[in-house]
Amino acid sequence: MVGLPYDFLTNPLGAVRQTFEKSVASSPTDVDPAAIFRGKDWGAVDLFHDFLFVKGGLAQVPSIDASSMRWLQPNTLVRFRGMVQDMLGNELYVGAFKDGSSWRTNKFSDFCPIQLPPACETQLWERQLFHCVPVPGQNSWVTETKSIPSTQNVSSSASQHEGKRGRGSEDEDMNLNEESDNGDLISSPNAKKQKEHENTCSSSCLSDDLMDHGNDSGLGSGDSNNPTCLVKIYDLPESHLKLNDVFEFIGIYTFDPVLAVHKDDSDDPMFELFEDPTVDLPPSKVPRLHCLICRKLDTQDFLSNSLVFESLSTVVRGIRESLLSHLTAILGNDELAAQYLLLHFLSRVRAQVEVMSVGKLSLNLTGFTKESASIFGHQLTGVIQKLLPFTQDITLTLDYLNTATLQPRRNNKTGRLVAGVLQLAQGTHLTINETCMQSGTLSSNGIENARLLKNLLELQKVEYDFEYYKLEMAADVQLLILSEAKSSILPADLVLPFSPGSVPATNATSEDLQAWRWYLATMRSLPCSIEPEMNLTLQDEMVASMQEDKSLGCAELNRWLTMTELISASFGEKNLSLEHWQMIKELERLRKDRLKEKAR
Amino acid sequence: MDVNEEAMAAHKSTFRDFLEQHGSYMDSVRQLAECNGRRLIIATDDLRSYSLDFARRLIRSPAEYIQPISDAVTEEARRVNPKLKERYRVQVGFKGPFGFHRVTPRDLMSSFIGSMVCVEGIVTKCSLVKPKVVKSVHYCPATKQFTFREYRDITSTAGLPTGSAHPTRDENGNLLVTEHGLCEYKDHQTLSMQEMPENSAPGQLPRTVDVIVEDDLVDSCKPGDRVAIVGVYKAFPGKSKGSLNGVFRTILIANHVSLLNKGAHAPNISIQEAKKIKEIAKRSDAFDLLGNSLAPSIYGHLWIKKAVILLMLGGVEKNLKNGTHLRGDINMMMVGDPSVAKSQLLRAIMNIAPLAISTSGRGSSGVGLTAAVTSDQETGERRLEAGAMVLADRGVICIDEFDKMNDLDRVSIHEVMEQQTVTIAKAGIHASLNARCSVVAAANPIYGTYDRSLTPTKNIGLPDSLLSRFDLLFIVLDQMDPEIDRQISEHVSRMHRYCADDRGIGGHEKSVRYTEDDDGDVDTSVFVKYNRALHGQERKKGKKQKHERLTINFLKKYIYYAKNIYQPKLTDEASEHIATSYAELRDAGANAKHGGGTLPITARTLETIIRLSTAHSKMKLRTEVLKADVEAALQVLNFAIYHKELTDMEEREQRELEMKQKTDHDTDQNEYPDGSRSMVEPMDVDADHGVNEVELPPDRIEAFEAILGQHVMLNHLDQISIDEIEGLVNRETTNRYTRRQISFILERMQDSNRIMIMEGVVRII
Repeated sequence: MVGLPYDFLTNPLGAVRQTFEKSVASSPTDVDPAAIFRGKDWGAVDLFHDFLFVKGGLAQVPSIDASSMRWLQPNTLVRFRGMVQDMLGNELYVGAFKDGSSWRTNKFSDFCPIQLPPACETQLWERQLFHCVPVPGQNSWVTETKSIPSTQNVSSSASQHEGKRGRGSEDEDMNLNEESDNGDLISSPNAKKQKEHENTCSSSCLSDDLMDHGNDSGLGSGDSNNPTCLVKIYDLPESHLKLNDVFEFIGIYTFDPVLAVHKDDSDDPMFELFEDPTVDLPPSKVPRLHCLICRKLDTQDFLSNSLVFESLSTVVRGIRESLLSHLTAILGNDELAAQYLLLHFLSRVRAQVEVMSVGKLSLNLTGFTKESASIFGHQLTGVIQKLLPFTQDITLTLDYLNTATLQPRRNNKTGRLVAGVLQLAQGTHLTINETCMQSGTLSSNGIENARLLKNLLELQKVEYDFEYYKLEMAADVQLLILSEAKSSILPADLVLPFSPGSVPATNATSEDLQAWRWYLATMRSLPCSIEPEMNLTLQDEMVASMQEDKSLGCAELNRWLTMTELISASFGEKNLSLEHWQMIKELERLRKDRLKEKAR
Repeated sequence: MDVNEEAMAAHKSTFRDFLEQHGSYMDSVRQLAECNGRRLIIATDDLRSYSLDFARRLIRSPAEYIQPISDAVTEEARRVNPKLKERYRVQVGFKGPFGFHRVTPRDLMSSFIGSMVCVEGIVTKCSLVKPKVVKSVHYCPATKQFTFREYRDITSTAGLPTGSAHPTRDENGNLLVTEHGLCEYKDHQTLSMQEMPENSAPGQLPRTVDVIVEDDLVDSCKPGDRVAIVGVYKAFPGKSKGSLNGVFRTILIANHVSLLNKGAHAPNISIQEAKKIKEIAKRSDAFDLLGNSLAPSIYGHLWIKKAVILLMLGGVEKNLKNGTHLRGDINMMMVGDPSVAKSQLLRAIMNIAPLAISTSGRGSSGVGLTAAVTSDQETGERRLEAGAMVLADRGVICIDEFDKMNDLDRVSIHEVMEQQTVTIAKAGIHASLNARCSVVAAANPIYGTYDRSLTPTKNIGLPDSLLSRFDLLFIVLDQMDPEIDRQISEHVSRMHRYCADDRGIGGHEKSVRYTEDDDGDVDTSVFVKYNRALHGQERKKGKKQKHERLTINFLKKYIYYAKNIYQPKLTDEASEHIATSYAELRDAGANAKHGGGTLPITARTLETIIRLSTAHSKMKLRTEVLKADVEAALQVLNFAIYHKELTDMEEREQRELEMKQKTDHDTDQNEYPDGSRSMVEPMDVDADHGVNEVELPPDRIEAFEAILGQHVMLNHLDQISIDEIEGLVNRETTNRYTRRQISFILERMQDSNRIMIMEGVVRII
C-alpha cells in the first residue's frame, strides 16, 4: 500500500483506531487486550509525535480561535494555547468495547462511531477534564506571530464565503479518507451537506454566544471573542498540569453546535440532583479537545520563530543598551527609573521558601499625578504591552476596590471555579495605577480586595475562595505600581520617585521590539548561581553594609541579592560577580538620595 | 434457585454466625429492635477478627454482601421483637479502618468502582431531602384488586434497578388508581463532597465526589462539615443514555456518615510516630529543638519561638464549681520595629496551629473581631455574626497591627481575653458565645519605631488593663551585632543559593513528597533532611543542634499529641517554687523605679507562670509539673518581662563602648537601663548582664556578698573600708577579686540601697 491509510490532520481518529486494532491483534491472546491498554498508549501518540515534531507537521495544524472555529471540522487535528482555568476532575468513559469478536476503542473521541451493542463487553477508562481559556491579558502580538505560520486554509479574515470554500476542500479530503478507511465514519453526502448548512447558520451567532458565556462566568477579561476550550487529557500523571499553567494542547477537535440541543430526556428525577460541572460548558458553545500531546509553554514559545538571536554577550549587551535607552526615552529621560524597570521586567519568583518568595521584585514608581500618570502611564503600559506577552493593568479606584471581584471563587452550586481578576498565568505583568484613588470607606469586599492585592505583592500568593475555606495558590506576577506618594495600600519591594526630564518619546521598529522581546524572555529564564567564593565575598559585603547602615535588615539584603542576580541576568551572565553587586549598591545609593530629596 | 441466591444465603448464614459470636452486636440489635432503630454499625475490625476473608470480600464486592447482612440483622431484630412491622428493615453501616480503601476524593480511581471505600472530605453542597417511592400501591376499580410495584434504582442493594414508570393500567388494560397513602417512600438526599484543603496537592484544585444518602442518614451533615463517608462507589451511564457518548458518572452510595468536626484538625499519629515523639520529649534540648523548628526561615528570635511553642500547647483550663473559669490559653504580644518578621511569625503560627484564624487590627471592622448582631436588610431578621475570636474557639487567633485597632474593639477584647466569652446584648438578643482561644498579637510601637529612651509601656502605648491580659509581651528589635549580621547575611544568601538550584527539580520533589504525606500511612519524617544549600555548612561544635529541625508535619503532630493527651498537675515542689519566684518578681517590680518590666506584675502573672509551666511540662510529656518546668517557664517569662532583646542590644553597645574607653569605667554605670540595675535577686536573669561586662559570673558575686555579709554580721560592723574588704574576700578564695571588680560589686550593692560608699569607706545600711 502506498502511503498511510489515514491523514493525520483530517482523520486523526483513524490513526488512533487503526493502531489500536493493530496492537490488539499483535498482543498475546491469553490476556485481556483491552485491559492492558488501560491508561497506556499503544503507539498512537508516538505516531503523532513523529508526525508533528519530526516531520514538521506542527505548522500545518490549525489553532482554535474565533475565526478558525467557523471552518474547523470535527474530528480533525487542531491545537490550542491556553491557561488551565479550572479542573473538572476525572471522567469515566467506555474506553474499549467488544464489537462482535474484535475490540474497538473510543479513546480520543466523545462518541462511539457505532451504536454500542446493548450488552457488550466494555472497559471503563479514565480521562481528566480541564477548562482552558486564552491566557488572561495576552497581548495581540502574541497571537499575530503564532497565527502567521499556522494558517493552512484561510487567513485571518474568515468571512462566511471563504469559510465555506475552506471547508469544501477539506470535505474532499475527508471523503477520500473515508473511502480508504474501512468506512469508519461513513455518512451519506446528503447528510453531510445538511450538517454543513446548519453549521454555517449557527456559526454567525456563535461568537456572540461565546461572548455571553465568557461574561457570564466572569472570564471575559480582555479578549472574550477567543474561544475557551474543554480539554480532555489522557494518561498523564495528575501533577503534570497545574492550575494557571499555560499549555499548548494538540489533539482532536470536536465541536457540535447542533447536536447539543437535545437536553437530557432522562426520566429519572434522581439525576436532576446532580449538577454536572460541564453543564455550563455545553458542547454547543465550548469546543472539546481530546488531547494527544500537550506541552508547557514558556515565554520564549510565544516569540516568533523567525528571529533567534545568539546568546553572545556582545549581542546581549547591545540589546540591553538599546532597550535601556528606549525605556529611558519612554520615562522622559529618567535613566535610574529605566534601570529599575529593566530589573523589574526580568524578575520572577524563583522559589517559595515557606513564607518567603525569593526572586520577586515589585516596583513602586511614585511622584505621579493624575495628569502625568495619564501621559507617562499610558506610554509605559503601551510599551509593557509590546514587550511582555501577558500584561494586565488596573486603575485602582475606591469604586473598583469595592466592586471588582479580584478573588477567584469556587461556586459550589455549579462546581465551577469562577475566575477573578487575580487568576493570572505565571509570569504575568500587572500594572496598578493608584493615582486615581480617592478617599472614602471601603466595603468588606473592598477590604478583602485590598488584602488580596497586598498578599500578592508581599507573598506572591492568591487566596482562592472555596466558601468553606480559603486555598492559597502560588503566583508569579510582576507588579508595577504608579502612585503619587509611596503606596501603603500596596507596599512594594522598591519605591522610586519618578522624575522625568522631558516628555516621553517613542521610536521603536518592529525588529527592535522583537529583539527586546527575545531578550526579556530569554534573560528572564536564565538560571542563576552563586559560586562558593562569591558567596563568601557577598556575605562579607553584606556584613560591611550592615555595619555602615544600621537600618538594613533581612528584607533589604534579600532584595539586594535578588537585584544582583537580576542585573547579572540582564547581561546574560549566569554567575554573580562583585561588579554586579557594586552596581546594585550604586543604584540603591542613587535611589536613596532621590528618596531623601523628595522628602525634603 | 440460581447461584446468586445460594451465595446470598451462604453469606447470610455466615453473618448470623458472626452475630452470635459477638454478643455486643446482639445487644445493639436488641436495642435497635426495641426502639425501631434503623441502622446497625459494624466495625470492620470485628469482621476481620472473625474472618479475614469475609471482611476482605465484603470490602471488595459489597454488592453481594450488604443485602444478606441486612437480611440477617433484620431477621434477628424481628426474632427479638416480633411486633415489628412487616416493612421494617435494619440497614447496615460500616466503620473502622479501611486501609488503602480510606481515600480522599482525588484518590477515587476507576479501580475502586464497585468496592466499599471510606472517603474523607468537606461537604460543599446538600440537596433538599426528598421522598422517593420504593413501592407503589395501585387499586383497580374494575377488578377491585390491589397491585404493587417495587422500584429500585442504583442505590438499591437488592437486585437490578427497575424502571421508574408508574403503571396506569393492569395487564388487562383496566385503569389503575394509585393509592398514595399506601405507597412506601424513603428519604433521599444527595451531597457533594470536596477534598479537604490540607490534602490538596500544590497547584491542583480539590476534587469532588457526589454522594447519595438515604433513610436515617439524610440530614446527618450540613455544608461545611468535615466528614468521613463509608459507602459503595458505583459508576452508572451518564445522562444521555450510555450508548451515545459512553461517558459514565460515578457516585458514592453511603452507608455510614461520621462527622470529623471534633477531631477535624487531628492528624493521624501512628504508633511509631508516638514513639518518636516520646524520644524527642526525653531529649534535654527538646525545647530548643522545637523552638528552632518553628519558622526556620525567620532568623533568630529563639525565645519568642519557644514562647509560641508553649502558647500552642497551652496550660490546663479549670472550671471551678462556683462557675469561675480559669483560662488555660496563653496570650502573647509582640511589639517592635517594622520589618522584624513579626507578621511572618504570625504566618508561621497559622501554618502550624491546628486551628488558627488571622485578622488584622486595621482591616477588621466592628464585626470582625468579636461577634456582633447584624440585621438582614431585606427581611429585618437579626442574626449573630461570629467574629474571628468566636471562630477561633479552641484555637489561636493571630491579630496583626493590634495598635491600629479601634478602641471599641479593644474593649470587647478585654472580655474575650480573660473570661473567654463574648457577650452580646443588642437588638433584643442576649447571648454569650465561647471564645476560648489564645491571642497572638503583633503591634508596632506607638511612635513607629521603638524609642529606647522611653519605658516599654510608653512605647507600646496600650492601656495597662489590656497589657496585663497578655501573659507574655516581647519587644522585637532589629539586632545590631556583627555576628548577628553575619548570620543574617548567611541566611539570606543561603536562601538564594537554594533557589539557584533548578527550580523545576525542587518543584517536582515537592509534589512527590506530597503524595507520600497524603497517604497518611507513611510515617512523617521527623527531621528535615539536611540540605547543604539551604541549611548551610554544619556549624562548629556547640551549635550542632541548631541545624536539627523537625519537619512541620511532625511538629504539628507533636503539638497535637502533647496538647491533648497530657493534662499535667502541679506538684507541691513546683507550686512552692512558683510562689517564691512570684514573690521575687513582685519585689523586683515594686523596687524598680520606672516599672522596668514590660508587663505589670500582678496576680495575673502568677497564673501566667502556672500556665507556662504547665505548657512546658506538656511539652516534656509529663503528667506532673516539676520544678524544672517552672524554671523553664520563668526563663521565658523573664525574657519577656525584662525585654531582654533590648538589654541585649544595649549591653552589646555597652561592650563596644567599653572597648573604646577601657580606662574610664565609672561613667558606664550611668548608662545602665534602670530596670536591670536594681535587680540583684539570684532568680533574675537580667541581673547577670551588668556583671558580664566586667566578666564576673553571678556565683562569684554571690560568694563575694556572702563573705562580706558574714563578716559584717559576725563583727557587728556598720562600716568597713574598701581596702579591708579586698583583703577579706581574697583571703578566703583562690580566685582573686581585682580592685575593679570589687568596686563594681559594691557599686551594684549601693544601687540596690544596701550599702553606701563614702570616701573609700563602705557603710552598711
